[in-house]
Amino acid sequence: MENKLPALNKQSPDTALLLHIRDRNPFAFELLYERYRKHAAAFAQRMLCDDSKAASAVKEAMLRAAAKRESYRLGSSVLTWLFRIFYHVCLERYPRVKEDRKPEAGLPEEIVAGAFDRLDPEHRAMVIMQKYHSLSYNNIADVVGRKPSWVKWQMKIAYDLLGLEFQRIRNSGAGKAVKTLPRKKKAKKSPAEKPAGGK
Amino acid sequence: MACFEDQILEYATGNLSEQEADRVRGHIKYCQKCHAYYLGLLKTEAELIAWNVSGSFGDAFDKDLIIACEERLEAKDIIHDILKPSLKYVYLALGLLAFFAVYRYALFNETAAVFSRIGSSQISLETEAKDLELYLEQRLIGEFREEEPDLCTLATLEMALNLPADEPAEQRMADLKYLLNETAAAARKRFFLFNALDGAFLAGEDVFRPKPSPVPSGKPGKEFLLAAAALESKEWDKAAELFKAVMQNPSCAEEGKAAAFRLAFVSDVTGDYAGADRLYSLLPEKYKGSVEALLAPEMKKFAQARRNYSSLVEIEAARIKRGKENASTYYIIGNEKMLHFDLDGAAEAYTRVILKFYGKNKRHSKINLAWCFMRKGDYKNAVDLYGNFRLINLDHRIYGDFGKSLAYARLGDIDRAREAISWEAKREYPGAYKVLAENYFQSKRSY
Repeated sequence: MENKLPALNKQSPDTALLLHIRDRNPFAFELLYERYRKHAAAFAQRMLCDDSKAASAVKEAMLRAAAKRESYRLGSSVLTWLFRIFYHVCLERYPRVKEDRKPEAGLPEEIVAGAFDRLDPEHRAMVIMQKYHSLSYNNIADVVGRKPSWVKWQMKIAYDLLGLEFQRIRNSGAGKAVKTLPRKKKAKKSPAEKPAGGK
Repeated sequence: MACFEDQILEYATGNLSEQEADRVRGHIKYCQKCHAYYLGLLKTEAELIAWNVSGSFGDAFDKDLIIACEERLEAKDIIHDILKPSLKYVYLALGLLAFFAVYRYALFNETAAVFSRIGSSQISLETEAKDLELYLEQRLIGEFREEEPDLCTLATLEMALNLPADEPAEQRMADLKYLLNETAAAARKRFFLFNALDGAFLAGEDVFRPKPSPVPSGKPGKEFLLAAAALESKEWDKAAELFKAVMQNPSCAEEGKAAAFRLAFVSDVTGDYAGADRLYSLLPEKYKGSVEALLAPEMKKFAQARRNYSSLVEIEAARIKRGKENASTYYIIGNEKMLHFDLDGAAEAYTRVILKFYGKNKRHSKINLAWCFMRKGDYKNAVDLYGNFRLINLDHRIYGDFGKSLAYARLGDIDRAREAISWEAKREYPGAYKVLAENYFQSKRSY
């Protein structure tokens, strides 16, 4: 006996959408994108701080979601499943070496973005997910593939770092050009520095 | 009260339950350190609110994206749509294959299977029974060389080889089959699941096994009888010639398979290994489903084991030259002589082990020497030797009881033959005792 899926409409639950997507229903995918496109775009923009890179990342993430539709486990959160894809795509596209931001106008957005540049990409993603997308610690743990206790610990570190960065900015004078601490660059070992006899 | 520094962030970001939030709130009121930390976090939170992004890339982007994703949805995905559904069947097939490979080569009871198959085969010609006896003799000699021979198998097979010559042919076949099935049952004394799997495996093989051709009745021809007599008297060359003639004679087609089987054996004994192997391989192909076809692969194995044994003998001969012989030296030499039907030479070597040495080889030599006496027809010495088995252990004692009883029966002393069998022997090897009692004690209810 054929198992018929429920009819689709704008109020259909996420799980029903995913079931239709598994059944290759393009309308279901359109609805899903409609529902989560703001999340996707905002997350990518905050992570990559570049609209063209963010657009490319969102496109890649949604295509990956369409291809990996079978990886969604029934009963789990669709938001978490999507964020897992966004998170990995953004990490792959995160610039290895970031240029130091020099906010000329001293706009609050530029100040916050500059402070975020001080964080590791994982910390950055976790704070963005928690602050701007209202994901719980358990959901974040599910996205990053860690335990919730680890996420709590890392969030505390991330907030402490952000607090220090904002304090530094305030001390240097709000509205003026922000001078951030120079980013530590991983110094490549020259061949001469390598221990003799090492592989 | 301890500080809740770890939970203050969760409190500030609204990730705590009502009860926990109350607790942290109460703590912050009087703890200056935590209060300061909390205020710092609130400031950070407030700063973060300022970061706004558009959250959109425009309608054109959305349309393009939807079209691209729809194409992706409609495209056949090799992994998910083609490979993945078929992979589970591939895994299942591989798993089954691996299981059967492991079972066939490690857990399947080959001995029991061979005996079961022979026991269930059609044996009605006298020639087939003789071939079977030839196989049993080789098998027994093979068992005698084992480190720990299965005494139950030895007792049952010896009984099969010592069926009275004057027994009616039909009764002889029935006894042989009965004893083989008993041996198979004894070999299968293990975990019941393995026995069930053995049964299933054999049933599966039977489906693909060729059905035996109808067994022709009647007596073998004169040429074949002459060849068989030459084999009995160990005139190898004459036997080989006569068997070849039988094989080439179209009027002796019925005896062809037995002639090929025995010619293979003679070739092996006389050192024509290639010829023997060729004939043993030919039998299962040419005479599918016959008893000889069933026995040929086993005979080939015995022949190969015998050839490998020669290298051991060379090592032991070198040891004797150096004057460093020990119990195993003469034991191995005895075995080698037994393999080449030199019963006197084998008996001498085993006697040397029994008289000079102690231990495992001495025990084994006693069993093998008793076999030599029985085959030579020296039943008196065999009775004495089997009596000695009482001193070794229970298994040997029971085996000795059967040997002694058989030797007495051959000497015609039925009363002593009956007395020689202890109750342990009757209990342990009921099949062998049944055949012994029916054939020699002249009373079917004597046990």
